[in-house]
Amino acid sequence: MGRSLLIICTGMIIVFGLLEMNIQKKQLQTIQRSAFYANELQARNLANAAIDITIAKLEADPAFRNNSSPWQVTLDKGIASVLIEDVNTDTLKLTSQASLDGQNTKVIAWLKQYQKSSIPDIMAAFGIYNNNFSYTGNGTYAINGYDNDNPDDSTNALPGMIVPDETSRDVVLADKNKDNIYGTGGTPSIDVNDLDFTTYTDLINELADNPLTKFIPSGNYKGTLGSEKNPGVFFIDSYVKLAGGLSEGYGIMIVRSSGDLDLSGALDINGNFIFHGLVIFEDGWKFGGAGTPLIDGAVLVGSDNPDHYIDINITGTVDINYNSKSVGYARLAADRILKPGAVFKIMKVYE
Amino acid sequence: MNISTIMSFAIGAILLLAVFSTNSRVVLNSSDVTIDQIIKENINNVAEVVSYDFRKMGYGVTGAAIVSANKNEITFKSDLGNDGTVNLVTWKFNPTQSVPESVNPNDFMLTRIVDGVTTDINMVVVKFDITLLDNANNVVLNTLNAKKIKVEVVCQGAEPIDGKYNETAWQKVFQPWNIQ
Repeated sequence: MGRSLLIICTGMIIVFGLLEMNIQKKQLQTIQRSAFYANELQARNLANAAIDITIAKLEADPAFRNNSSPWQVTLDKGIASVLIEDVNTDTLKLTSQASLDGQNTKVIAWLKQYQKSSIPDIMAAFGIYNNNFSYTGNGTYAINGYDNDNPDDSTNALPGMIVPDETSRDVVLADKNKDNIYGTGGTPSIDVNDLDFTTYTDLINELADNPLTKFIPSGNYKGTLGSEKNPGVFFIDSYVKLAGGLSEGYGIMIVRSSGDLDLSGALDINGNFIFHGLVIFEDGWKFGGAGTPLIDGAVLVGSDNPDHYIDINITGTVDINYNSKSVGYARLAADRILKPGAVFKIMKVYE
Repeated sequence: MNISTIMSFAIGAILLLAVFSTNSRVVLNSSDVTIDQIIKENINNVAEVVSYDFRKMGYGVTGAAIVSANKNEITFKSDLGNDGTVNLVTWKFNPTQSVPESVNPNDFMLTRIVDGVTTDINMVVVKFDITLLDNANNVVLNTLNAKKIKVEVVCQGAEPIDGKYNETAWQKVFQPWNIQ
């Protein structure tokens, strides 16, 4: 009995074993299909993630091309290679390929390159970023939001002035010469917006720390203030009187609370002085102008402490005129120093 | 015949009965699994082609990418072959047109039309629903506001098992780059 039973049991084990193997095989096929689908998605994710990482790399270094070779991006689940090609001066083509357990995917993305600017968008010819200030407009000054680069085209026009809240607007409206503020929305052209000076504070600090920034020495200044082709960044943190035949300046000028900009000397000599660009008064308004000086660009005054009191007293026949082209000189000057890089936006994707 | 031989036959008979019983169950289960696999294979094939087309929606297109859409049909433009030619792609599920060669009474005709060339997708599809969504996942009817497209596909087995048709569902929300 023992031997025959052993034979039967052995036979049974073999039969059951074969059945079990068949069942496992079917399960394996099901699992393989799921794994195939998961791997394909994972590979696609890898390729897309590599494009995102490459964009971040390009934003840090817009000239990065990895010597025209595919750039290997290593991620948790695998490696993707991205080839960066120039389509034209401001368009790039990224071809990202990823492979995962035999699943290959390719994603092609077209990017458009935009130059970043260190200077935020200008919102008015004259921006008052504090809500704790007094405002007096003496003389025959004018603040004009119409673009002086193309006065006939109102599409680029801005308000003459912008303030952070309605109370601030009322402060300016209480001034007897409020009608000297021109721009969009009628006269007096004063817009209200939730303004934040901290962006400019950061900009000022970054520029102040840069060795390419020029600090104007105190007293009478007879040097240059940039040119159309080479606008500069100028800091004034003590009393400065522009004198000695200076007629024009280009770029960005920052007058700190300790500074005091007096244009009367230059104006006495030239009849008028024009600064083409952006003038920022930080923590105070110390601006004296007699004659007909013109700030052709934009003016900002503010403090990173919104409770800081600023006494704004415009005297003489100072003109503050918005000029988009002149704001461009300020951007050029600041961007040359700070090198803000570029932004890349995806235009279209083929996957 | 001694007692041990009789016992061996008895045990052998019991074991054989057990094997036959198990085998019949495995065979039944196996056909169930096989049909299930076929359904999954079918839905996988549908999903693959749908994904291929929908991912490229709006690629190389200037202006509106989605021409028209409703619950069972969508027409959009895309340069499918990345060859500079914009194709007009239509996915259409007709719940009134049954598939003649199918035993299953629930499946209907799913067709893919690219530039007028029609391909019938005979994968025992019983449901093919399209829903247009905006960025906040709200359902929208205006194709210009659509930023995502939800596709739901249900496939059934061609043959019934114990009078019932097995089914598998696939659902995906596409957010094509080119319509953002």
